[in-house]
Amino acid sequence: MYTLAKLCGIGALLLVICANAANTAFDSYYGFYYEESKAELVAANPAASLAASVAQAKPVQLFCGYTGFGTGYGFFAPNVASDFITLYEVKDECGETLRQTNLPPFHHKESVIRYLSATGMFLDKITKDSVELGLQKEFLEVVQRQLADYVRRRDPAAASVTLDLYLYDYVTLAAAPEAELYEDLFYVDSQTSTRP
Amino acid sequence: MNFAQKTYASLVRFFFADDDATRTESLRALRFFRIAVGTIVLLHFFAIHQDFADLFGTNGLIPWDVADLYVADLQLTLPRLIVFLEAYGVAAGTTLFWFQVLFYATGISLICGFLPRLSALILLLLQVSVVSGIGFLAYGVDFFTSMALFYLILANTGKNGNPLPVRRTLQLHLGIAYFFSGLVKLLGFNWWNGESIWKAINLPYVNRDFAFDFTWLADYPFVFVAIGWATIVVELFHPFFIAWKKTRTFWLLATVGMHFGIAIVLNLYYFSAMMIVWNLAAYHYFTLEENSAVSAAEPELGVLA
Repeated sequence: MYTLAKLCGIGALLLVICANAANTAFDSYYGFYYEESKAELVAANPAASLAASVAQAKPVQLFCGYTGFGTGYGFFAPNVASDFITLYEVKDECGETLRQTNLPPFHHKESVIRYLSATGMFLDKITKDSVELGLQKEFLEVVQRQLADYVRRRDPAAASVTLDLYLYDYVTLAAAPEAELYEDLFYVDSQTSTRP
Repeated sequence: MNFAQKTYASLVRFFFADDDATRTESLRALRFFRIAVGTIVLLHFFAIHQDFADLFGTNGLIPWDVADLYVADLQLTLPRLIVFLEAYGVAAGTTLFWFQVLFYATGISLICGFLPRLSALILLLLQVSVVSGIGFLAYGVDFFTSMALFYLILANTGKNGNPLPVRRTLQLHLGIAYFFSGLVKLLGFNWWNGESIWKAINLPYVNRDFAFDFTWLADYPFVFVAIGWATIVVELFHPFFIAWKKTRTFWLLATVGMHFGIAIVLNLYYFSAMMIVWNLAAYHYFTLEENSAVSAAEPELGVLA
């Protein structure tokens, strides 16, 4: 009986792993190819709906929240997401630019990796329109302003900090042999934090 | 014996075989897993020690009340713990300090094998409370760390333990993970023509440590096409060819090599190290001599000898 219970436990765990893996796979596939009709396509696909219903069940989410099993496995797939370049412009009380920097003042490389992971949230700013974003638009603006605020608070001479957000674009492999310019930046948005 | 009974008996044999050789193999594998995961967790945690409060405290890069909008009600998080203790007069700095002390202590305890399952449980709670507090700062390695610690709670790596069920689950878990990773890559057309590999190695903050110049390779796109397809094949067929004894060593080397490449080029050292450890713990042959049982007197750390 104890062995059967253990087997059931293993089975349940594997079901959670499969459900989350499949849920993320469907989500990223439909998100990449059919962004605008993603929700309808997921609803119409029984396998996708089943995976989503298991992965999003309250007890499963609670379990995943404490164990990390909620992750998907589509690393860099189906497409490698673009990164953002952040530009912090630090100004004094007279409005003169004191310095410009791409990153907050971190001490470690690993902190930069975590920071870049966080900036990935801004992808929604360019993949969704204002209506679709809804309250998330304000949330992303608040986060962007808070990042600027963090840099301002760490610099006693700074009266204001503006964070300009750019999408980084690198030439495609197909175009690279003929390309004159390999890198480009697309402006996305700016937010400013001012000393109270 | 009917079909259901046969299936049940096969499953019991697969997950719970208790012969000396299997027990020795899984004990050594899980002891290696425990020591290696503990070491990576500690190094990864130490890798941000000066920025810890700014990243994961209540008033850092992303204020906790903003990030908390995306956190489930019943989730334990470090910022919530800080705020809770502040109500009892404990300063945020004090909580952060003792939190880190506890993290290092349980990490060392896990590595040394002192109450390993309890250490793994405490470390998992600490780890999860860090990465889910300001969840936007989490990335792949954090999830694999949490899952590894969960397996270590279940694994009895003591002298009478038989962690085979955990090792088997680890093997199946890796198979599912790589299969889906390969499948989703197969669905992305940019993985067929080399563009994904080209884009990944040219992201603005990767390839900084060794700064390899890949631009000249743009004249030989077949290199990127080949690497893209090799990645798909290694991942998609991982559960099949690593389970087959004849191809296991080759597939393990290919998978480890892939993660080594990710470490060197994308500079994702902790993620790569964690994935290599998962693969080794699941599929490497740990038995030094055939049928050699783990001696009851053998120290736990002997696994690395």
